[in-house]
Amino acid sequence: MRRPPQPRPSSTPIDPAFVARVRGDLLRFARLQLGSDDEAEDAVQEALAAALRNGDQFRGEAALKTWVIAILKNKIADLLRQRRRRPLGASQMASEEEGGALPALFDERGMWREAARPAAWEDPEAGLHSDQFLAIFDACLNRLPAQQGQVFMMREVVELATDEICDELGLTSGNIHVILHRARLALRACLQHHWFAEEVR
Amino acid sequence: MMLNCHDTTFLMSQRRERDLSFSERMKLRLHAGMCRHCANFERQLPLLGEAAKRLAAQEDDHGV
Repeated sequence: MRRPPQPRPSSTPIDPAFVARVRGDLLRFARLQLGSDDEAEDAVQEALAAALRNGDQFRGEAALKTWVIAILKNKIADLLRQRRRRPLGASQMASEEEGGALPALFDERGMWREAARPAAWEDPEAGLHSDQFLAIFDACLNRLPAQQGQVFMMREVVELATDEICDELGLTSGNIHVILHRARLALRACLQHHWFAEEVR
Repeated sequence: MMLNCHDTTFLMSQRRERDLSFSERMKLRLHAGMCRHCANFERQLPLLGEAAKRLAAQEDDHGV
């Protein structure tokens, strides 16, 4: 991975290997929400630089990493609020919805297809404490259409309100509701298929 | 009027973003009371948000 030079006060002995490791995680996180590699690179770069400037206040890498993530979340929220992005996919969304096409999980009457029926999940809370579960959830997120993943993260992680997401993406609240519904349907189905059905734990 | 599963899950999803009207809540309850698949869907919805937050904060726990 290309690693640009890190600004680093001489008083702060921060391990470059640590920065490299953290950077990959941060980039994945930022890309999902910004939907753009360049902007994600910039946001991560700024967050790292800001964090390392004050890095000597932190004891241990875990604390430093938490701090970098907090800065990055703020940067992403700012970017999303300020930036007026091209309403990419808005027209696609609208036409898809007006066409009345139902997600493939449902039959033509809007009832669950047999294979897609949500089953009861055994001890779903346990998954939240499992690295393996979160890795699968991550893979499911990455499999979503870019816009769905972006809106889902803006809503559930950055916790923007619907109207903030609308302003940001140039979509209507109706669009957002449809996008979130589809993202949740897809994520739920993906988890059922890859985690709860196989019980890999 | 009875909702189908698609419309029911759509309302369940929207409930995380907005307050549903009285009539929407009634229709949702009526359907979910009889359809365990949609009832399962509703129970599992919050987990998706939780998982996303855990994933975003995962580094905090491990110090990876």
